[in-house]
Amino acid sequence: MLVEPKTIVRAQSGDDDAFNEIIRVYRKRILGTVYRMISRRDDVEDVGQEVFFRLYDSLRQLRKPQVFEPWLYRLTINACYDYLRKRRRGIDVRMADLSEEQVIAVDAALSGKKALEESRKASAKELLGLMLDRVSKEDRVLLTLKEIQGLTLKELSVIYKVNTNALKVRLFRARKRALRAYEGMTDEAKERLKQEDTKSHDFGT
Amino acid sequence: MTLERDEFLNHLFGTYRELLGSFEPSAAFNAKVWARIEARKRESLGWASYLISWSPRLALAAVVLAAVLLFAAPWMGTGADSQSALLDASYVDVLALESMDDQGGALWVLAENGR
Repeated sequence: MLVEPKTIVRAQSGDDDAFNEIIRVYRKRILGTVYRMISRRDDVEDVGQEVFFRLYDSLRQLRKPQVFEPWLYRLTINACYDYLRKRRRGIDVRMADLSEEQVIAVDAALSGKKALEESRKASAKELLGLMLDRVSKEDRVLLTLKEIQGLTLKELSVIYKVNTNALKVRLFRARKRALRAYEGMTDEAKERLKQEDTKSHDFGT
Repeated sequence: MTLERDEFLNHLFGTYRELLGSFEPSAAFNAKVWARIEARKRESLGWASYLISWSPRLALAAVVLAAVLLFAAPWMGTGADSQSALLDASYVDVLALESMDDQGGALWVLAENGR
């Protein structure tokens, strides 16, 4: 744990300095997790503030300071769920509108070409973010924590309060759905590009 | 899922992780969290002070209402006697009342109870 249990106990009893210490120590980790889960740089601090705000509100309900970290992760996950739910309502992501640049960029990134230009890097990141937008928010959060954040199954089982076997099944299914989403996206984009190419040839002749 | 697709997916996530990079909190992050907490505190204190400022008036209104009810009670209870026979009736009596009220049976049941 990054802070001593006694710091948590002090914060629980209303010591603002102790709570400030918790924010200082955990902010980078929490904001990093939020960033990986929502992948929108502009909104990360907002969601992160919400996590610490909820923490301040509910810290007294924590009975054992030793389980503080999984508990903080759960607060983070819930704040991200809320954010993703709102965002999903507001945005209609049209996968078929992916640009040629994005398809080329992700192909290059995946074929291991290291010298990816900055603009292409941004496109590949956006495309992979869109893939995560296409799966459910539950899958997105689980995949992010496991595959991007790098948490172990044991750590995840504490956060999710389920055994590792159940988690393995969930993870397997989530990976399958993510792969299907990715394939669907690239197929749509490539099909559209092919159609545009055919049209331009027809127009030219 | 085949091994090849599994590896592809690992590569996909690895690429994403690499492209995503890290996130550095702004210098004002802690201050913004505290501003939010303080705003909430002020808001809840605002409600509490609003209730406190109104509490003498609310207490006075409750006393006046209680006094009015106390004085009005003798006049409000005039119909109570006429209803007592019905209130004393058992469940079976009430069922009988409902089924016989068109033949004057209700009066008969009430008269029986009154004896």
